[in-house]
Amino acid sequence: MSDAVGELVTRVATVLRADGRGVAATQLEVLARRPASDVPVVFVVGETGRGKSALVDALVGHRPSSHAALGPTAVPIVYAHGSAAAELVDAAGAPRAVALELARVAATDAGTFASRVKISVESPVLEHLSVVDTPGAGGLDSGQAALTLQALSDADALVFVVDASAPLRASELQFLRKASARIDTVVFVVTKTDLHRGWQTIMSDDQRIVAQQAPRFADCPWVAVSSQLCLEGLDEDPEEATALREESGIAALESLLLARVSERSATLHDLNVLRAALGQLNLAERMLAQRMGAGTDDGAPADAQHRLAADRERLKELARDRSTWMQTLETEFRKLPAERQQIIGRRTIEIRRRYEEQLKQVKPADEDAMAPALVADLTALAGQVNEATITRVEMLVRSILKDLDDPGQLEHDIRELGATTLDDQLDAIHLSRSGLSHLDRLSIFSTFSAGRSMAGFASGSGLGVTASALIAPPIGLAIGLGLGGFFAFQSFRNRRREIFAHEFSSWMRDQVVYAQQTLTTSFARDSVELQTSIRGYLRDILAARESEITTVIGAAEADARKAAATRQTEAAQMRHRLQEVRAVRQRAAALIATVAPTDAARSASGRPTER
Amino acid sequence: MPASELIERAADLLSQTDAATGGALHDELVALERRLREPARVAVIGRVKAGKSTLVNALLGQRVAPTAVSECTQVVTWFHYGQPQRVEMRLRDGSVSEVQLAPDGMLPRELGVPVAAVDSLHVYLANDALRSMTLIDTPGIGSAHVSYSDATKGLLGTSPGVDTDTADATVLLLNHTLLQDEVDALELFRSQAGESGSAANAVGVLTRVDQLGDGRGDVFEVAVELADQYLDVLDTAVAAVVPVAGLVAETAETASLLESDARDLATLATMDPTELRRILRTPDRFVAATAPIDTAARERLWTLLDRVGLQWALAAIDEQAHGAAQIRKELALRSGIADVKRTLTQRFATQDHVLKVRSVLDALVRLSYVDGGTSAAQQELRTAVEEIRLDPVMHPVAELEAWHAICSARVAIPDGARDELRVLFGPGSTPMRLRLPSGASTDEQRAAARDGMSRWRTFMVTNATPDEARLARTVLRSYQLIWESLV
Repeated sequence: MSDAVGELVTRVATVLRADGRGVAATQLEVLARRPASDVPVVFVVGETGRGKSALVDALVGHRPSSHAALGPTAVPIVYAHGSAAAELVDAAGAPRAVALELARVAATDAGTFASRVKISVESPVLEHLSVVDTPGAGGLDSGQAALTLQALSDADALVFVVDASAPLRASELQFLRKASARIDTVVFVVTKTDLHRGWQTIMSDDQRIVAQQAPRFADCPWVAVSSQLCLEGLDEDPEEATALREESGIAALESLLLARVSERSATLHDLNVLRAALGQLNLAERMLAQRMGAGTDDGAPADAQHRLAADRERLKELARDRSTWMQTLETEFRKLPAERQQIIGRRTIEIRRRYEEQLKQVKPADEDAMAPALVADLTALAGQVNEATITRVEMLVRSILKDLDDPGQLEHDIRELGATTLDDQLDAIHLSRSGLSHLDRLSIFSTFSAGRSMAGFASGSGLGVTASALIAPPIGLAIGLGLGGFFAFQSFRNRRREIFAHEFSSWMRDQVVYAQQTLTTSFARDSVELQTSIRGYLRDILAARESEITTVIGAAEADARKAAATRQTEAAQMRHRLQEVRAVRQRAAALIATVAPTDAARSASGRPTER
Repeated sequence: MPASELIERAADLLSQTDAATGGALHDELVALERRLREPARVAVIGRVKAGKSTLVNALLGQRVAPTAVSECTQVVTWFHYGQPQRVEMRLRDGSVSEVQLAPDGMLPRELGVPVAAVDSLHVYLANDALRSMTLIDTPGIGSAHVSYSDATKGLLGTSPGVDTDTADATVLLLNHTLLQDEVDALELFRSQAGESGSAANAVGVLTRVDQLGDGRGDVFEVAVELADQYLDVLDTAVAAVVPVAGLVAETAETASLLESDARDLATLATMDPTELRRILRTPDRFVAATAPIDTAARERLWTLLDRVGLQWALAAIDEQAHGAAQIRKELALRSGIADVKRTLTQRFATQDHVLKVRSVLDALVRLSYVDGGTSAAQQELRTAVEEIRLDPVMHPVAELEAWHAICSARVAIPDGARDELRVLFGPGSTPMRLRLPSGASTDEQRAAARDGMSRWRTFMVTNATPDEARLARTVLRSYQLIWESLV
């Protein structure tokens, strides 16, 4: 962290404490003290089939033996610098060395027990940054998106991959918004320019769509590449290889990433701290300005007070039991179990049917794979169901928040209050004792994927506190399924082949029934709690806002009763404090501008505009 | 089963209903009757830029639907058989106006009204391909422009009430990856009118095979393999998955490759093979390269054929193909379009009357529930629909429904029964349906039918769930009808 940023953090903390907001001050200091990661991590994300893996191969200059035969990437692949080696890391974090050429195949197998694959290769790019190839969003395993989102919270930069075959889709835009919630550096890459003659048109269409529908990213750089062309260079002599890398656009992407990310890894950390500080300062300024507006002599104080009083009445009204938002909440919550049950019922039948079919023709060699595959499917199902639920709840809460007050402010408050629940939950299940990195966490969630959407909800949406009620059960369920499945699977190995089919189907029935029951009943139990906590939460926000206004009005009234001289002194003090807040805020904005000129405009103006 | 008999029986029911309801439902019933007389409606759905319009053009053998690089199909477009050639634009306010085709025979780029105000376009062409099915080109699924996607949903039958403008069958366009919202769109189609969409009336077409592989091996081999994988995943949703090189098929089938293009290709073929391979690696190289034909010609060729088409065309010239007609023939052959046509004919055109009657019966049942569905006329209507469904003429409808129940995994059936029923319910000669060699004697056929009857009778009495029993009754009936026809 640079001295300038350190100094600013101290100033901001002082201002916040003067305002009686010590918790926020401490949080900011903690964030500032956390060390920046050694090598910046670039996550390559995007919809499934857009060519992420080929892009990463081209970028690091490493090609798997046969690319066409590989299926979609199912677990994250972490590329780091080192002599050629690969390992599969299981859920418990234990690595197992594997032949380099098998590593990629393992990463495409959803039934594998590896929860991430780590590949080390000698590559100039990797000396400066580490690259993570992620499972794609939007495919049939929709839980993957949430899974990726969870791991992203600490990423230093995002490469968002689209391809030249078709314009950006609505689901991709949505994923982009979620993925980049906390990341400042986003680079767009259009792949497959070797296939599509119209790639330039597609790219400019995409840019237009982004500018219109996600303006926060309007200034992000775009690079068009042909990964295939670059990879062909690997078979050629070095000179030709360099020329192909140049022509393919991969070289341009590389230098862009190095310039934007690697040389600025410390800066990125500063930037994150500064953005957090800026948010707090905006809030402090707003409160002060409001209070001054209410008490000031010039202008129309009565009007301002009147407005505030009206606001307070409205908030009180909303906090009362007969408010409509509570009914909305309740009605919508009542619909959820039925929806869930419907999905669960349909999907489990599909899964069972599929495995029954498979069982009829299974070869002895494939038997071993069936139990873990079933567990993976059921776990994924749990993830999907929870994901669907969470999306619904999230939309619901958002819609209510919109009705209540300035949504940005409320979301901000919620975010501040609900910061670290995920780690608490992980602590509770003894997984984060050894100091989990974001990748470890990703691994856990890719194996026990049922928990991932909750985690995404907690960290991504800023609704941590309210979602925490739901986090524990799905993780528990997933682990139950995963380990139960694993042990059962082990026991199969000791049995005679002839009775495999029989054993498997009865075991499968148990697993399916168990999954169905757990998914249904755990939700019925937890939804009450979740609903209560959302309601309490919204009320807290209302109350906090209301008391804020009350304080302002009270202070203004007290001011009015005081002697003119005292009044003037206090007004002067407040003006002084406001000036200080504004000065610090300007300083923060200026610092942001110096560390990240291109990102400055939107950061300084506060929240992203597309919300 | 004579198709006309089935249609007439349904038409009779419509006029009886009209009389019984005193003309209250006249407009809806007329629309349904019209629907019975028209070819089955096949909706082409898929994500944005999946190649929907390209496939429609290829099937028509005529470039009518615009297929620009950018998102262009914004309106649901129906292609009907009809003369004189014309285009009707139906607006959301109910008014209809006429639109002129562009001089090149394509739909115009601009409609003169905001897209949001347009309900649908109806193109009438004297095109033989449209005699057996009405094609419906739809806006893409999952578009960033939400309204386009909504238009497709409406077509697939999510609008409330009685919708006479829904499709009878679907062609789902798949690309090199399968996305959740595509599967969801199929689900939507499946849930239309309750239960009418499934593998029984949907097929998948794997388009843009040029995206497959790494551009060096035979893309079609990869495509066939991928199509099989998709069928595994989607087997409750589509009856078949067929690969096609859409753009190549369009260019070949619509005769867009001209004599001058053939000459350009021949000139190109004289280039040094290594250099030719090199410039074919990317479109940018191909256009920018030094080559014996000019830039405009190269741009045109790539636009017409893509890399895979260019490779095929050059290979055809190597194998002594001369002139545009021969090259087109060769391209059509390699594109796989014949398989798509065959599949559509097999699945939809020959089953056309069953699909339509089924849609109409479903619509009638929905009508019978409008406003609570308690009136005497509505109850009678439901009884009448039930009766007609029991008539031997309507048995194919029952088979279709049974097949749907199997496809949607509502009914568990014994080992191997799925294959048995796929054939039994399918089109084909009697021996084929009984899985006998085509020369099987009548006695052998009757024995096979009797065997089927006894097996399914056993299944019916030993399996108590109502769904299974209903299925078994339908199968039993199928064998009975075959047996009776052989007496």
